[in-house]
Amino acid sequence: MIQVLIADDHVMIRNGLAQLFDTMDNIAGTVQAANGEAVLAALGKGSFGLLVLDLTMPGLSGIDLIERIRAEYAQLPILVLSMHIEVQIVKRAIQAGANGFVTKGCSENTLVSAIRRVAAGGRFIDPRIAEQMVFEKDSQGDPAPHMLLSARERQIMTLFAKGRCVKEIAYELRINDRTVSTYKTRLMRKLSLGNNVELIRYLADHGLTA
Amino acid sequence: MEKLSDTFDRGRYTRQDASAPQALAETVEEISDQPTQLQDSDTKLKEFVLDNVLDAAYLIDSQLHFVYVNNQACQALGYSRNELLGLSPSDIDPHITPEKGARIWTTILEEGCITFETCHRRRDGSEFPVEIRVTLFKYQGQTMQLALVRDISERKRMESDLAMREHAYRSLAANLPDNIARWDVDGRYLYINATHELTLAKSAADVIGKTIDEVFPDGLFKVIEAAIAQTIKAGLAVLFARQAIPVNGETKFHDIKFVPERDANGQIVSVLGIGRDMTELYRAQDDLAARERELRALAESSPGMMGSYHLRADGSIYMPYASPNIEKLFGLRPQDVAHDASALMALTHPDDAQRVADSIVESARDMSTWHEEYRILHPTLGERWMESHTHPEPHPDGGIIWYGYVHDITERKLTQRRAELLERAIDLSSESTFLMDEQFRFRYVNETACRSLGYSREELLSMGPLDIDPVMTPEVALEERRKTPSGQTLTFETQHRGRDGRMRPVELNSSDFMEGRNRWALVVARDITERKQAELDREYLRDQLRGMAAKREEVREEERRHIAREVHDELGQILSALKLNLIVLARKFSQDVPALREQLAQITQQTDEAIGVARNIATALRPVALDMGFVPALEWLAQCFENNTGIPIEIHAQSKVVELNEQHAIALFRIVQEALTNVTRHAQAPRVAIILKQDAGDHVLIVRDDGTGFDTCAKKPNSFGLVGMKERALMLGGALSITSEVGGGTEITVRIPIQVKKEAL
Repeated sequence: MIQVLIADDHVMIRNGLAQLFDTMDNIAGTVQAANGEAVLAALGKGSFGLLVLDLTMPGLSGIDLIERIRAEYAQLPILVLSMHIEVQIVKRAIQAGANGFVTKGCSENTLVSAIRRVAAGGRFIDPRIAEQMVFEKDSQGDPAPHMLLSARERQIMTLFAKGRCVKEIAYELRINDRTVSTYKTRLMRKLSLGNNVELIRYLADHGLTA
Repeated sequence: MEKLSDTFDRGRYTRQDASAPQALAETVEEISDQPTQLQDSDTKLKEFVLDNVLDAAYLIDSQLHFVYVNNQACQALGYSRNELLGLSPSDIDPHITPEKGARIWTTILEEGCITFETCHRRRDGSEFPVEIRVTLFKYQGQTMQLALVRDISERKRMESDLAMREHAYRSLAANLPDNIARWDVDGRYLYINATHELTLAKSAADVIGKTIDEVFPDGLFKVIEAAIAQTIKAGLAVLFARQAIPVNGETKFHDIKFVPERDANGQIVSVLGIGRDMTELYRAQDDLAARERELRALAESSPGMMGSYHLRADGSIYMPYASPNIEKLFGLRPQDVAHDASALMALTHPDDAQRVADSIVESARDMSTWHEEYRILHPTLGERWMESHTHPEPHPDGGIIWYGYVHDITERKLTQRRAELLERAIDLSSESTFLMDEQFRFRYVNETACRSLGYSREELLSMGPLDIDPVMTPEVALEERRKTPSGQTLTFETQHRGRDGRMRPVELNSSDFMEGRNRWALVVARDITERKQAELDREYLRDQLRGMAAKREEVREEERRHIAREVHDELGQILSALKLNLIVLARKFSQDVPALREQLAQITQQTDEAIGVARNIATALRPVALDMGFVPALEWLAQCFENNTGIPIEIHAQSKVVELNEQHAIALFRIVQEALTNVTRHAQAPRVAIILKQDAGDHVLIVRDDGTGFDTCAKKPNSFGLVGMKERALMLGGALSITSEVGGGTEITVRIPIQVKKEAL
């Protein structure tokens, strides 16, 4: 039997959750907290087997709060119950130490499963979010040098990659030879390349060869 | 010279006097041959005759005693007749000797008479020359000598004078610098003087007695031969001027006078030639003539008229010389003014006549150069402008003569007038105009330039652009000149500082042009104070507008955030709570009531939908991801984009990025949103890349697609999407640039300074 701490600034949510826990087995009882400070105070007074935590509350809340709790109560299972469905938020919550993440408005099954799984020391992520996380869009870090080329420079680089010479490129783009040479000089400098061999190797390394 | 003096002397002397004693002697002889019965009376007659002849007469008997002397004899010797009758010839002739006397006697006996010269001594001992003619004389049966003695002192003196004169003439002829020669009628040299010896390069001895042809078989002096012949034929002195005479291989020019010389009968016996070397004179004359020809040619080839004006003492004026151009300039011929130039004066334009007359008077008074520009009324061409430049000198015959030059300056005047008109027109222009030379000095400035800068024209003309344009440096000026090819106009804005030190913003149009090898720049300056003010006002208004827009945007974002939070947190929470309650309700009461369970499931589903709507509304208003930071927000946005369009997006964010503040984050986020919207609408791009980096104190965001691109020049003026993006960047003191090419994709680059400029907000 475990004690559950419910943290949410909305009393309706807290009450709803309390009633839900009442219907569940192995739940000894619930304590409610309306903000981060209250959460920390409650954690200091009692022993809880599960923290159901809203991410947005007045005062200390969200990721900061999770990190704070995790720092003091390493074993406390934390299930984030949030209006947010954004993968980025989910990831950060998990990274900060949350054991599970479900959105408000999830199905009964999801919610109950999440409570059970997390309370049991497991991890749970709302399947809808999990699906998104699989195809998650992520920043790719420092841009590769060729990403910093202008459109025209990239176009000309691509044509070089296809093995075209200056004259052919000039003809194809209806610009004059010297302009092509100028673009080439500039793109070589941006890519820190000294000669054609290095350019070919760079293109190959970045999968840019046709 | 012998001959020459003969010519002068012989006739005078010889013919008149020489035969006188002879004739007298003959007369006496005739008388003495009369019959002896008449002796007494004859003797008386003879004595009378002898006493009245001019010669002294002596009758000498065989013992050489004087038996008779006439009066003349007594007077000549200063003796009385008795004294003289007691003497003998040896007493009065100191030179007579017995031998001489005997010889004379012998000669007389043989030939009947003798004439000889000797001296007689007077009673006082003085001597004088005499000529004596002695004849035999039968008197009273005795044979006697009659000696007629003539005093020849005068003749001797004349002979001596003649000799001296002859010597002087010879010396003169010999030493004259002129050539003197005499030829006989056959052309043989009779005489040449020393000068002529030099001229002929022959000594007198070589030529005397020879003809010219013999001396000079090469025909060198054929002309002289001909001249001699001509002189003889003419019988008059003839002057042959400018005869070419070869002297030492050089041609000299001689004036030669040939004079025919006649004998007592008037027959020409010789020709005298007197020649003088006139080479220098002729050369000088030739030079003078050549000089005059040159001057005349100069005068006549000049476009103007050269001439001299003589103002006589009586006030009349004429032109001793006028070059033929007078006809072209004034419609008058030189001869029309040669005696009276009033016709020329009358052509002066009535409006200028007084001025011209006054200045002539002044020139005459001060002997100063007369220089005047004036109009004339040309008989056919009408009004013409003339310029005269003449210099006065006193005339030797009195009055003043001006030498000078007149030329037609009508064209120049017209040009000048045009230039003046042009200058006035430029002065009237409302724009300051400067003409600047290669050394950056003003060479012309118009009235407006002076007025607007507050300088006098003289002051400005001593200045250059560097003096009035504080921004301009010699380097900049040279650089601008280098950039502006001749014939092109460069337009730029700068400031001019007037005399009062106040700066005036101006727009300059600088046109460079070449005039020969000189480079000029025409600079037209337009005062753009008002325009600048208007620009400033506009800029101010724009900044105000931008600030207001930024403020409004901020407020709107805040409002959105607020509404989003209300919807998301409040409405969402309520719906969530509702759903929770439905779950609880279902768990508690619907286990055994299928109808209720079904109904609850339906309500739950509707609640889910309501939650979804609320969440969408909130997200649309403000993505929650923004609260997580800009990069997560970008990732979220990209995710949504990919989900909606299927176009893959790469995001490249520099790892160490200074976190953007809320304002930057929202602005950049909205820009990316707009850019992605455009990609969706227009680009048909196979992929999109978003790059975030920091560069030189700026946040740099690049959104690039490989889509169709567009022509940036032809973009629609009302593409509010692009304008909106630009405005967002400007609000933050940044800038947004779009590069795109048809077929080459589109790239939007935003730069926003990391340090937000306070005044931009």
